[in-house]
Amino acid sequence: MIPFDLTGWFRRRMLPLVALSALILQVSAPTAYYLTKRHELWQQAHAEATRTAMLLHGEIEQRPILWRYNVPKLMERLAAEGMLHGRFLDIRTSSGQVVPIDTTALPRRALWGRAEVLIGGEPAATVWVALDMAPLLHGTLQLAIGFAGLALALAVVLYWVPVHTVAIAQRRIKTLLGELALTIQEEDRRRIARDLHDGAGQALTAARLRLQALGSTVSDQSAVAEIAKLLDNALGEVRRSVYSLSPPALSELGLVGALARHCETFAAATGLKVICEFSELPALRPKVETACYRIVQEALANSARHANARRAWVQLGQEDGVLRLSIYDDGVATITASREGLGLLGIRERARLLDGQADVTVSPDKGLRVEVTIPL
Amino acid sequence: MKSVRCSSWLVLILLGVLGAGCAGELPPPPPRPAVTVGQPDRDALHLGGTGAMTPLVTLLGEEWTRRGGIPRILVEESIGSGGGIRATYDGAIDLGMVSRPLSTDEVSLGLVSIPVGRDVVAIVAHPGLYADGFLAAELPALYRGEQKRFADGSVAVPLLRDRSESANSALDRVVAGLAEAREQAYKQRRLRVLYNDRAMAEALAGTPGSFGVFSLSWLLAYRLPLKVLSIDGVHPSPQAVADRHYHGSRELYFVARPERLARARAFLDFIRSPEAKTLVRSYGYLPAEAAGVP
Repeated sequence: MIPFDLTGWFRRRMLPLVALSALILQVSAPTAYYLTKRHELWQQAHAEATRTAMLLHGEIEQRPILWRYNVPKLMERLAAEGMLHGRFLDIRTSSGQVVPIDTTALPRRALWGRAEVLIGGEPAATVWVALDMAPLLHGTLQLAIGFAGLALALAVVLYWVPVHTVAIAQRRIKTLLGELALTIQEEDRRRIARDLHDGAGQALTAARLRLQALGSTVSDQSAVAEIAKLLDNALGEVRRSVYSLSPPALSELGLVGALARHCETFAAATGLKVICEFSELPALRPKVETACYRIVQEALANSARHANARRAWVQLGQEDGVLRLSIYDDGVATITASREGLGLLGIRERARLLDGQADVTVSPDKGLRVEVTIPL
Repeated sequence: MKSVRCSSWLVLILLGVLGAGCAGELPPPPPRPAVTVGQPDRDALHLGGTGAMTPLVTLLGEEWTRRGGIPRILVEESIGSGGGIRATYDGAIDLGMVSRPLSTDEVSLGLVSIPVGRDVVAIVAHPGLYADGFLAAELPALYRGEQKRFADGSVAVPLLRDRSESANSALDRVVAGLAEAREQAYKQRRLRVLYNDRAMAEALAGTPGSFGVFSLSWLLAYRLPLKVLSIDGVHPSPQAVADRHYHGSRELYFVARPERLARARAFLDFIRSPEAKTLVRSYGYLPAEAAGVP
């Protein structure tokens, strides 16, 4: 198991970073557009003020005193040439008096350009030109809306792709860890089985042979027979344990063969009629085979132990790349879902560690039903 | 601490960029109070306004000076009737020269009007133009661009004066439909527009096939080599106007602030004199009927 939620941890660190990136993207482009265009607009206002000032310069040179009374005519000329379209113009004499002219209304959001008319180095008049900033603000707003959408889309991608990748990696790590746990578990089982077989099993066998050799010399034959029986029982117990811990049939017969033999042995031992239905399977990973074998062992044991069943079914097959294993019986289950034993929990855990799923249904009238799916 | 310093620098840089991008001029300051009335020039009588009166008043002023009249007469470059009225009201000049009726706003300024005479307005053409006159019905078609050539095949070049020119409305009384044709030409910007009499004179003299509205007195006073065209067979002249055969004329008059009349009275009396009226006629104007000067 992974000691902490890697995806959640990654998500918590990604969120502010992505939000900041999206904010920078959303703000930077409209801001750059606004500043650049505003500067251009100001340059335009300044250029138009300068152009008007140059025209005024000729007017003032021609009419040094009365020029301002002829400016309306000059403006009429500029207007006729389209030079005043959409511009607000303000002309002041050197003493600050306004030269009355008809011009476009002052825009609500104006950007001003200014130019002075110098006659003989002395300021004779000042021209202000106001350009409307509304189109610029409108354009900036449209760009901001567009970039907000873009930033949102980018944020979703920037956030979702790495988080999704980490989530996949986390699932993979979890699977690997599960498989590792299973491997370790099976290794332990095999080691214990080997130790039992080589240690206790050999010792019991040696003791049984020794007792057999001593049998003729001992006067109390009934005691010898009793000890021999005890030793045979112990030896049988050790053999069953060894078989249970590390079923040799799995490596010898494969999953289907091993299950068939187990069902047969189990039926003989418990009196439960076990019906096996196996379809053709592809080559399975050893961990999957072991898990299936253990699940069938546990499920049948439960059927025999708690369900008072007379018949049990074991079905194994594959469909759409998924291994399906079903074990059910015709008994009356005496355990409830809330009081499942370690065996049923183990079934779930084995399936989960292989990225699979185990549905255990316990009902009083239908007995025990275990449905396992494991991706191939 | 380090992050605070970095943030401060970042904020400063951002403010700098914003400041650079937000460059612009301050709006103009609030306007000063209305112009105070200027002080009159002790040595000269300043006149300014419509260009239609410039030749008349210049020549009369020269005659006035020749006769030892005081103060001397200074006629400023044309600033139009409207400019003349406003400059008179501001006290920038003593007498404003006007060639159109005063608007309601201008009447409310309280200026005194002094009739001087009438100026004859005609269609004047480049001296090389083949025809001696037009039918009144031809002119709107020429200004609308429907007729682009004259009968001899030469290109017709109609010229326009600016919208506020009083000669336009004077000629509208002679040629029906001319005002609409002219307005269409302004809107379509098809024709060349001249903004004062001097520019019009130069354009007419220098453009073959050109014709336009012009002051007859300018022609005579400055002996311009231009051709005056008859309209429907009537040749424009002061006599034709006096006989009411030709209606293309405009009234000319001075405007003055009441308190400035006294210093202009001698010159105004001269203009009313029979000698001056003779001169006025000789310059191509019609003198005003004996009208009392306030």
